[in-house]
Amino acid sequence: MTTTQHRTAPPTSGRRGGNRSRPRPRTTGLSWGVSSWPAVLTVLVLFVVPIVVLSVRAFTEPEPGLQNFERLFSHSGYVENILRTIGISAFSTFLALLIGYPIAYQMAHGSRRTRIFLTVTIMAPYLTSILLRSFSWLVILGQQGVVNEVLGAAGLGPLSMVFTPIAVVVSLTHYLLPLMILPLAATMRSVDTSRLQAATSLGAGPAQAFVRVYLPLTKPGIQAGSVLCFVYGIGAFVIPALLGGSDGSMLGSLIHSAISQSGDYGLASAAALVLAVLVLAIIVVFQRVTGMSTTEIAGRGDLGGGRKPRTRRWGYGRLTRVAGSAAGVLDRLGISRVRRLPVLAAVTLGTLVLAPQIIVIPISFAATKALVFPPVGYSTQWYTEFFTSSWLDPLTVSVRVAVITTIFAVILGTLAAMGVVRGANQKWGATTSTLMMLPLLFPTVVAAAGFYIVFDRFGLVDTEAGIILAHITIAIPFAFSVVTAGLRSLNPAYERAAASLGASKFVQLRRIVAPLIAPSIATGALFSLLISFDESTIAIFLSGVRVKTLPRRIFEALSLETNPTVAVISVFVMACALVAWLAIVVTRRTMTRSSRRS
Amino acid sequence: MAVQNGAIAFERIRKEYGDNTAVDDLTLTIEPGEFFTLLGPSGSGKTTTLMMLAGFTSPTSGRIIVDGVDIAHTPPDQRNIGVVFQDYALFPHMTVRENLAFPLEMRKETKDVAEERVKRALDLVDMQSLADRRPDQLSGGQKQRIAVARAIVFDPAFLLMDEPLGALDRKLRQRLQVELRQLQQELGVTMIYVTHDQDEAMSMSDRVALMNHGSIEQMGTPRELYENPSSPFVADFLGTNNMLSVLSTGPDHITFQTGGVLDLDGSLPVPAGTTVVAVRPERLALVKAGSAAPEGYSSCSAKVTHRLYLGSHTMYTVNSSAFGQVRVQMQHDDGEHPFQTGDEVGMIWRARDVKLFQDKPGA
Repeated sequence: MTTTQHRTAPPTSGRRGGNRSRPRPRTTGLSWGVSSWPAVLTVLVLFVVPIVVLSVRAFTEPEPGLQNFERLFSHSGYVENILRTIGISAFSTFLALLIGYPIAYQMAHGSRRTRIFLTVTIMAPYLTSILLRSFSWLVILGQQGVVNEVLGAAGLGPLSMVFTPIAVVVSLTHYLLPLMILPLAATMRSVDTSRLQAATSLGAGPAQAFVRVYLPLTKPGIQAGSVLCFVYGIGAFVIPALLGGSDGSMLGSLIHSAISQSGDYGLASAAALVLAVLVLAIIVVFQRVTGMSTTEIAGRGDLGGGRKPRTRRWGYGRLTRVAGSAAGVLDRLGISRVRRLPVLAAVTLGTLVLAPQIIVIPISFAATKALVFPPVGYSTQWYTEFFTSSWLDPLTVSVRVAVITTIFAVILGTLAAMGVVRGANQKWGATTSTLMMLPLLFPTVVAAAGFYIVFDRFGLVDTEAGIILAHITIAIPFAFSVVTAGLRSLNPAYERAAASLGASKFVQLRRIVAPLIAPSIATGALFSLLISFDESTIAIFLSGVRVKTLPRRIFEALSLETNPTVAVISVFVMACALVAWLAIVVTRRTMTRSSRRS
Repeated sequence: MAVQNGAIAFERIRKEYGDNTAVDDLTLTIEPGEFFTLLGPSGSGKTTTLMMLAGFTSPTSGRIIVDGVDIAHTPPDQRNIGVVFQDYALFPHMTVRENLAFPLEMRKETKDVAEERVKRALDLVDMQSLADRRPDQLSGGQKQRIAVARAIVFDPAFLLMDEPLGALDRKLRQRLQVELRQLQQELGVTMIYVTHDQDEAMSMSDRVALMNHGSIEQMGTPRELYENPSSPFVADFLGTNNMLSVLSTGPDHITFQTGGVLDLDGSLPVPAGTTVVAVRPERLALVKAGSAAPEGYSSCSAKVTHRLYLGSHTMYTVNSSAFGQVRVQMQHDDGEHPFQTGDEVGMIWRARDVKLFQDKPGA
């Protein structure tokens, strides 16, 4: 028995530590680094391989050579398409910066009420499917839409905007706005406003102080927001496909029509490769200029904290000095001293951003099929239509796909996060992080084309399994990044304590880590669920005949007919969001109340 | 079944982080049932040493022998060592009872046995009434006791503690020092205790290893370290000391950079290469000018330049002919008038309290 001579043993049952009382000589072996392998393998096989295959196909379809690129660059229509893609994304990015900056400013420095209002106006569209937002713009910009009604009342002729680049730019700017505002606001929050006060105390007017001091300090946010918008703009697919027609077509819609309409895999692959190269070029140039990492760009909201903005000469350049004296004119005229002006501007812009969301409510009660605003006559027929199998079946498919995707993405993402945060090898951790975030930054439309080509070979196109596999890859970045953040704030002493008490790595994860980071895991799961449920690009490429997700069904409804049932879905989505939000608010209230009581 | 008797030996342990050597060629033996303290300033390698023993990090080279088996690369969950963490690391999502039952569950103890042992461990630390609380409902001292109970509930042969009293206030710390020491003796467990607090090290330990820059400066009983420091670092780290730089040495005297000249009267040969001399303020004493030194004491003249009243004692700064400027600690004596600033006084000391340090060979 184990009681020893030299010590006054406590009255034990005689059995100390059982069969564990003697440490077995075994190497530490498996460290957490291993736990990221399943996710790494998943992203490599399911995401990277299809893109590689796609790239190869661009050079080998139908026979080895450059003929696909020759076709792409010799046909004036295709060249125009590429230039238009760049032009539209650049212009939309610029507009997003112009509109987003005042909003972001108030989100960072405004009063509590202004901040909450603007957060709602920005987050509501951000969480709404791009398809539903495109539908809103169809209603607003259509031949009989809101804008033309207003123009008509002013005696101006109807303007054709849908199926022209105008509709694409407007809609794309609206889509990109949150991507611009989130990094901008994060950077602005880290700017010390006492520097503005310092500038005014030194004799600069408000406008001049803003241009000479504040603007240069927010440069990292401007850069990150712009590159994010530009990258997402270039990869846009749903918006040009629905609103662009042939005049407003972009690379994304070109890839889709090449595959789905003409079965021209070679051209589609070449176009996808051009798109991918454009995106990578932007990111590489951006990283060279700013020194930010890929994960930092993709991490969005986390930007700016602690990073020292590289503003060595920007604030002293000739451009800012000229702009500064121009701003001085505003100061002298007193325009910049109207105190409510910035708030008013931001609130007006925020309202405009939210408006398309609201406009669909009356449309959902329209009596006619045509998208006329305000509707001529009201009915609930579209609500009745939504509750038929034509819509409920796709809804069921979407829910099932989202749930299964979430389960896999959360397990893989959590394990990968453990590997990165708790793994011993820093370099391997950084590589893993970049790989995990890749599907978030890489244009989904390119990946979707790759999925289509590779999955076709395994009979996975037009199956739920195919959509789930593809969705897992794009949900992993969300699960991974949220859980990583949660883990980083978890004291590693808990795991060490568990280990010292005899818990294996697996038991530590199950009994200690998982319960303690449950909120992060739940948030990651919620994100994965939303991403998969909302996802339209991959669903449009990979489903259609036998399997149909809800976004795919909406896409059909919008591209083949105009159908106010889509407005009904928008209303439902908003209602769900409202209920969820209220539920969160109520539970938070009761939780703080009960914790105060104890 | 093998017996864990609680002996530990570090053999030439080395731990590097990149270019940085945290622990450098460490060799030490800890006896069964001993209260052994690793003492040192932050960055001295004491926590790294503890982490290697607990298994949270592996040494770059060397062996850690426990009961004849090298465990240097054994995973922590297979070591059967109780650890009390600096911030206790009580699992916040479990009650006290669940926290204590956790290690027993890991060892597949039956429910009855586990319940019985949890109860006994809580009895030992006198915390039975808190079994159903959650950690965030406990005070600092309670958390500390529960953390100890959790570390001993599975009856490990070793107990490691990483600054377990650091977060507590002074009074509580002193009480818990006594309790910890009693508990360790009661259980007969081998204790490896890490601290930067010399009072804790002195009051609890059987032996202390004073670490600096990743290696052991001196190892021994608290008394040995205090009375016979082997290096200026040890002399300076423990307690307070007048550290005097040597300007030059003669056959029977030392000249200090402070200007003092210490005449050793041949009572002590001055070793070659003596660079630093240490003498503790409480081993110096002030007497009235001109009074004769008692038997066995040396004396010199001095002038009080500063006086600091500290309640339990008074710290004088004096300019002495033997040492130059030094501090002298005097207990209060009702009969004696305290000396005033500017007073000409005498100063006495015993020759054996003056410690001479030589340059390390090769250093």
